[in-house]
Amino acid sequence: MSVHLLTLGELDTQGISELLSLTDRFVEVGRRPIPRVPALRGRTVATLFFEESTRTRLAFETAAKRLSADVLNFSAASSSLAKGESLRDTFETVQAMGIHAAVVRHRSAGVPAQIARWADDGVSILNGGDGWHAHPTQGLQDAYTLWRHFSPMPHGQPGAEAADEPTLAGLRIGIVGDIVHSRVARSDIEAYTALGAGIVLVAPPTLLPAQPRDWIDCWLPADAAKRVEISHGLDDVLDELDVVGLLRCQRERMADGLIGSVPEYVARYGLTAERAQRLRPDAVITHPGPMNRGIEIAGAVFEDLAANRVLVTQQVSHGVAARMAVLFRLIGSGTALPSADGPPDAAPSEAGPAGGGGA
Amino acid sequence: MADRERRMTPPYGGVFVARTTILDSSGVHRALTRVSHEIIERNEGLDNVLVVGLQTGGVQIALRIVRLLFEIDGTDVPFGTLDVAMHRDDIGLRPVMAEAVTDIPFDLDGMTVVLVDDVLYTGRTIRAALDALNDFGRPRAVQLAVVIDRGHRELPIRPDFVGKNLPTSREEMVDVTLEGVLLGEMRK
Amino acid sequence: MAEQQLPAAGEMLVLAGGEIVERTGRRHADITVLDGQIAAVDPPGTNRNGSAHVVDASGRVVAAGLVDLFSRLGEPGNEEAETVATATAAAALGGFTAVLAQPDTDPPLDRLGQLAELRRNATGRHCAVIAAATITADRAGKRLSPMAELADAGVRWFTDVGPLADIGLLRRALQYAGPLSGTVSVRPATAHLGGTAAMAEGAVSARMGLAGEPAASEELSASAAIGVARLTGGRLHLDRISAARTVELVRAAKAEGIDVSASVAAEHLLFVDADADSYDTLMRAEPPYRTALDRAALIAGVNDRTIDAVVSGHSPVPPQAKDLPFDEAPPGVAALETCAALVLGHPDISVETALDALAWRPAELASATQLGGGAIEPGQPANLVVFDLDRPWTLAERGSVSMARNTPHRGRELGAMAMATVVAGHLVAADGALCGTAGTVAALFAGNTR
Repeated sequence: MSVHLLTLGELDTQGISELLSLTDRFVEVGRRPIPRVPALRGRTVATLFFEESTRTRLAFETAAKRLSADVLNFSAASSSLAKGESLRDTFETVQAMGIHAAVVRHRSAGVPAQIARWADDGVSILNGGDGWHAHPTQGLQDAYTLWRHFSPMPHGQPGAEAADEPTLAGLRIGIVGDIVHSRVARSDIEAYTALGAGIVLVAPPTLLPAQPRDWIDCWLPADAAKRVEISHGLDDVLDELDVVGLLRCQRERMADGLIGSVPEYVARYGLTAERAQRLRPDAVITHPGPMNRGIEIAGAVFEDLAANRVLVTQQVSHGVAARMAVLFRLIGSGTALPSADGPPDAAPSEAGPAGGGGA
Repeated sequence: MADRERRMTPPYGGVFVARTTILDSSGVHRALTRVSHEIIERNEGLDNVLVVGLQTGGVQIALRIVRLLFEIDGTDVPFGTLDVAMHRDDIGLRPVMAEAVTDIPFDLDGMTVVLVDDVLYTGRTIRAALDALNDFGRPRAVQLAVVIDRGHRELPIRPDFVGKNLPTSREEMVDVTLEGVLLGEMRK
Repeated sequence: MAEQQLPAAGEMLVLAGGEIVERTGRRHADITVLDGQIAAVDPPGTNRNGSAHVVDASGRVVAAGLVDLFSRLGEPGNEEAETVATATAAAALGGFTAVLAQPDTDPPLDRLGQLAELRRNATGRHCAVIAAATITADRAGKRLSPMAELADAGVRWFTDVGPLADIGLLRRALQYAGPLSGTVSVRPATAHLGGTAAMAEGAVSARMGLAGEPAASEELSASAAIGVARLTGGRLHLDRISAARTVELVRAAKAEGIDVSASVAAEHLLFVDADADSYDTLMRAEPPYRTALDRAALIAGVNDRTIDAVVSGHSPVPPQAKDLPFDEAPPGVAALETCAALVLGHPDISVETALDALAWRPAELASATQLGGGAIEPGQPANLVVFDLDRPWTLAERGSVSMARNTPHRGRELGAMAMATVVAGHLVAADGALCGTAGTVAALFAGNTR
């Protein structure tokens, strides 16, 4: 049972599926002339960004506002952290303002987990990205994007949604690039494997954890770990992939001497025009953004591939719906998320009798 | 009764135990046929009329009304579904599942919307539905059709079309499907 | 905490009915202490002067006082976290009669003036304080400190409290310390192999998204240090080792006859990297906790005496420091009160081995058998501890005298408890409480500290 969302690994497949199914509902809300529902009216969501990320903050803020929640924005730059206030003092100050959820972003791994230990009952902590560790809402939006690309939402068929369980079974997904430093890669791996996909991690050994096999086996459930492979060459696996998940290649990594040179990286791991030719006809490209055109993907490839082959915009727009689903589920639904640790609870104990049997 | 109602009615996770049959399937059919005639009569035809079924109990009823309207009048009335979970005023008081589809693939501006639900009780679901409809446009009018009106209103809401008025106590539970209407209660 | 009645100066103290455990064996005897010395060791129940202050040690183990080879005492520079007064009180309560004060203070202890200041500050405390000095001036790793001058003033332990990156400098330090009878202590780690990382490198650090220090970082540094110890014949101590292969290296070096000793921090016999899974900053250690295999090798190393000493690694930090992100929080545990209880209560370590690693061997390494870990015989200085090996307790219930609160054991039940500590003939702690204040003890301690 969890009132927080720190990693996707702490949810079981049911929990991830539930959030993705719920995302469908909020995608629909997003298409309404007035894309707003009153579900979280009177609730306050704080965004605590100790590391700036305009995109993620906007996605959470939009999600909260579309649910009619109030939003408190806190940036480390505008805080007294610089004056020696501890992480805990800062959080407790924000918490004292009366919040129901806090989205925490920090460049250090584990900060959302630490803050969750300091949170009062009734305050949910959402991980908005911590160090290299996890970015669960990104994992949800990516998994949702792929699910709905390969199994589009049934339309106008009452009852059809019952059989429409989230799944990525049968897909082979490559995750290419700087895996060791990527919270997105870790959350995508958790989401994709939970939904049944096969994964190939494609990177030079310097951009993978030191013993990648041990890492995977110790981290994921056994049946998921079996579906993760490791490769050091994109060309070796390119023609098997249904999805090429590109990661951002940060220029700092070159300064750290983790790769020889940019051209060398592009030659082995970049989605060049030549490689784009070899993609399977129905294969799609994802990228968490912002994209380095000319490194992860050749500019021409990005322009030439049909819009339904590069899913970057879909990832962003689904990001809002996925975050609405998480916020609604954690602080609006009255129940905790089913987690890998225990069954979901049946009902909150304070529930009073309400209008049963219809209106 | 929709599984959703079952899960969201105290005691949560209980089972519905029927005591009396109020209508059988032909009774439901006759009631809906009468309601369909009344809809046509009230609106002087079916121009600019839409039917929206409330998830989940109202959807099958609404689909049947759409079919009956076609049989009676020859008009294929546009049909949509609406889930009001995210508009309810008791979010946080009881478990809310927002798993059912809202699908209103048309502009409501200037249209007459016939909202269809299985049972009218406190009126809170209808209040939520009226709120939700606002986000899709500005209908000329909204009318309400229900199979059963069981009383106990908590809001100033009244139905335009009723299959059957059924006095109940608050402890009772009404189960409505196309196969019939049963009165009983929830047991753990 | 209620203070016990302190025996008056010149009063006789008797530890009665306990089982004395020494290297030479076990025996039941009463120990009479007078004027700072062990006056007599008699068969149990021997008639004695009725005015003696008697500590009932029946059913308990009596041993030579414990000597900690690694304590940070907080002063100077970290007074917010700990002071010499509170650290020595914590040590006494934990069963230590002497602690080796690490010189990585601010400023570091690298000259006579600071040595004198520490000795002045350490006088009249609840246990003895042994001074260590830095290997390099200002602990900067560039040039040697005035080691000879410091040795003339009695310092026998030189350490920069961490790795010494310049292996040439380590060679010179070992050469230079040789005729000074000094031990050069380094904690092996290789900066370029993640030697400052928050975690051990492995599956757990990869899952947690934290940079890791591979075991090779420690092994390579230890191997290089052993190499220069062989080259120079100097006396090398490898401080707080953590990896299985380092234990192997030490074992091989000892077999070869190289003058090397090693220590491990008590928590490393208990925790592994996965214990930091929830980013609990109390589980950030220096060096980092490693795998269950490493832990097993460390325990085996203690048991076959490859690892000479188990140390507390006492590293007090101010409370708010552990509220920092995991990779920014200072590592370490405030461990003086719990260290001996952990080792004596460890299921895989015998009482004799625990006492050898906590008292007898560290006292030899620190040339401090007059302050702890010595023989229990008439005429010897009376530095003694009484342990109840079957006494479950928690720090939370008993209360803590250290200022630092960075311990993972607050609510954990520990199996063994120090019931009495005698320093230079004085009962400084009894039944889990201090006896007397530093001020009243002060007069009794003159000359006890070096």
